[in-house]
Amino acid sequence: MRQVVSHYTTWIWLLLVALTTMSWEVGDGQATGISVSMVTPVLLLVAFFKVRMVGMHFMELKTAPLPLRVLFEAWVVVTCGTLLLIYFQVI
Amino acid sequence: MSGAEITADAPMSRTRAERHMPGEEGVWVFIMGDMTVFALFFLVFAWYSGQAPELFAASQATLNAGYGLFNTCLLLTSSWFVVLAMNAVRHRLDRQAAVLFVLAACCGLGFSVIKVLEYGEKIGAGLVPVTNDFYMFYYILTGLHFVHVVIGMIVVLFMALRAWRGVNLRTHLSFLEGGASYWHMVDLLWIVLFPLIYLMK
Repeated sequence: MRQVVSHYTTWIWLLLVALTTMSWEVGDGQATGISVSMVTPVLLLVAFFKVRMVGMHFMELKTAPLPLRVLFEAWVVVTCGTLLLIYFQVI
Repeated sequence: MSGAEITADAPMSRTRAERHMPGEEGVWVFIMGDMTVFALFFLVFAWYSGQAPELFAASQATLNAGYGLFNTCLLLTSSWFVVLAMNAVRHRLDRQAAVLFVLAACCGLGFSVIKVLEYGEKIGAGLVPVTNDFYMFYYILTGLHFVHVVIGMIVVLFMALRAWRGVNLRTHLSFLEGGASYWHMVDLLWIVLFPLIYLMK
């Protein structure tokens, strides 16, 4: 059982929980140092960074056939990018 | 590409040279299709939010972000249990894998209980889908996701049953990998929904 838990993905899980808690603090306005207009972009970038971590390390796309990995990475970039463009009222 | 190509003795020592599709191709068509549908919902939500920022901010303030935070952590933990379960399967620790799959399903159940409590609170306060655009999106997006959680829990419980009865890496790995990937997608979609609905300014 020990070899199962002492896998690098346990660190990924801890990082994901830490980033989630930080996002909540930023979003609830508890954290200082981030201007209000940057809250949403920061939250989006952190969220899609987390999504990519789940994809690469939990869904094992890191070692998946390249077309599948590229498709996933494209989804992350396009979805996050378009949300940012909408937020900054470019589109 | 298929699970049959993986040898039982060295499934963990994959390198970049021997890339491996986790699960059947059909599962991935479904996953990427589902993710695309959700992405469109995210964009439409963000666009409507930009059209009526005051209404969306005021409505968002009525949500309890603590529920969202706790539920995100539950799904992340659930996903992690599934990763550990898949590790256990590859180490031929089938019974441990079954326990880990059940733990993953329990996290999903916890998510569901909180979601139902949250819906109950909102409906009790008179906040329903027809209240305004924010609440319409809130119910559509979280409701659609909730359906995925329920289906995922059933899939994960079947995975637990499979593991408990013993896994044949040649014939069962693809099903387990596909189910695991689906459950990670459920987690991944909530990772975006949480900041989008509960936190974004």
